[in-house]
Amino acid sequence: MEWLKIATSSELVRIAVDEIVYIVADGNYCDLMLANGSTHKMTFQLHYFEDYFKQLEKSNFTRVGRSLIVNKRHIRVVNIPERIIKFGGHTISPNMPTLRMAQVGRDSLKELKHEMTGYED
Amino acid sequence: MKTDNNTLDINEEIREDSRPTEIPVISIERDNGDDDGRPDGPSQRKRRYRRRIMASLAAALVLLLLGGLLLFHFRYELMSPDLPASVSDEDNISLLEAPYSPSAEGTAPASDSILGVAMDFYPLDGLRASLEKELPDTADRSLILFMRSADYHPGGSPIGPMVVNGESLEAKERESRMAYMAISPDGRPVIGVSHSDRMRRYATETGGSFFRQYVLLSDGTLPADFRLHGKVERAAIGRMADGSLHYIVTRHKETMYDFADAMREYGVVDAMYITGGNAYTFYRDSSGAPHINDATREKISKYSSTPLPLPLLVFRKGDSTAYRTYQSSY
Repeated sequence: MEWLKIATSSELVRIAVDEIVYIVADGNYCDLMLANGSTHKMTFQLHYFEDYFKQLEKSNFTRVGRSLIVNKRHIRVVNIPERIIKFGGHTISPNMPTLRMAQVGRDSLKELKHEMTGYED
Repeated sequence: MKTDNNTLDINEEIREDSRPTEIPVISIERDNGDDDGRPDGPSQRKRRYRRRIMASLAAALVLLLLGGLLLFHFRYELMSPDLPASVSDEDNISLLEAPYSPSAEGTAPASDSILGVAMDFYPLDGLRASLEKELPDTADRSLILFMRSADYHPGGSPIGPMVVNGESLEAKERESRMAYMAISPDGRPVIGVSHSDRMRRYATETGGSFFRQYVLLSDGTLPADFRLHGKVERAAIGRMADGSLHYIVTRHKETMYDFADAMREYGVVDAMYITGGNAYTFYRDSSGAPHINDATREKISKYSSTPLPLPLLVFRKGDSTAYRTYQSSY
């Protein structure tokens, strides 16, 4: 199992990689959503995560648009007309929110769907 | 922004934010102890190599210890693996299956001294042998001779396998000594040297008796080493070259080696040790007169505080009715 050890000026956060469901940008900060439904506010920008996700032995993380990184392992539904991503699985909290992409994020969703299935319409 | 139906809207626009951002230090930790995903450096390789060496050394040490323990436990068996046998288990089984009509009225020791070891030889031929769970009555004129048989734990269970009239006694220790005595249901005793369990099974199946003791001589050869050391009065059951069995007791305190060597010199072919000391020795001569020494008298006295080493190996007159009564009581 792999863990992320994230140190900032004020805290150290240690998270099992598989526990991360998605990370969403929030201005200069980002919110980390964990499988148990809890969120953790990180005081840095989203793109820092990307570099480290590439170093994982088997990375399931992918960037969706400008504001979101998702863990493909936990994705249950990708619906392009409705622009939503739903998460599910036995380790995922039932209160996990559904993500609805902005209108401009439709192409990112298509890319995600294609990446996960190889299906292109 | 989160809406009422548990949906989070993902905004793709860049939002003005006045909050200060940081540069985090992120590292990847793996359960195998590596701190990140980078390739191992020389120090990690060295550490891993050292760990492997230590694990191999620990495994080798454990194996060595286990081997040592096994060797220690079976050292006497391993040290005497190639003792020649004068009779095989099959020979002894044929002998036990042959009809036996003992007729001796008593026994009398022949004394001799060889290599400085004085010994008494009590002929056992023509006597009916048995393992008996109770102390025999020395006033019973059918009783010719009795002695100890196997060694016992303080709790009373025999060391090594023991069968009394077809009934296996529970042995606490797995130790199996090489020499054995087997007794047919009609009282014929045989001795032999073998690791095999065949004779014990045969005794169990036929209602005979069986026990094991240390080997002193096998086909005229001494074992490489003896487990018991020091000097005490020694006793053994020996088979001469003509096949006759004798109960052989030293008159003085001797070492196991001296005793075995003297017997070999005298012409004993096979010999099985019977526990040392001069207690539990009783015999009746042909005239019917009992001979019992003070040590034995004290041991079998009702005032003795020492528990009796039962079952005893008992030899009775061949046509003994008392023997038949005893047998039928089982």
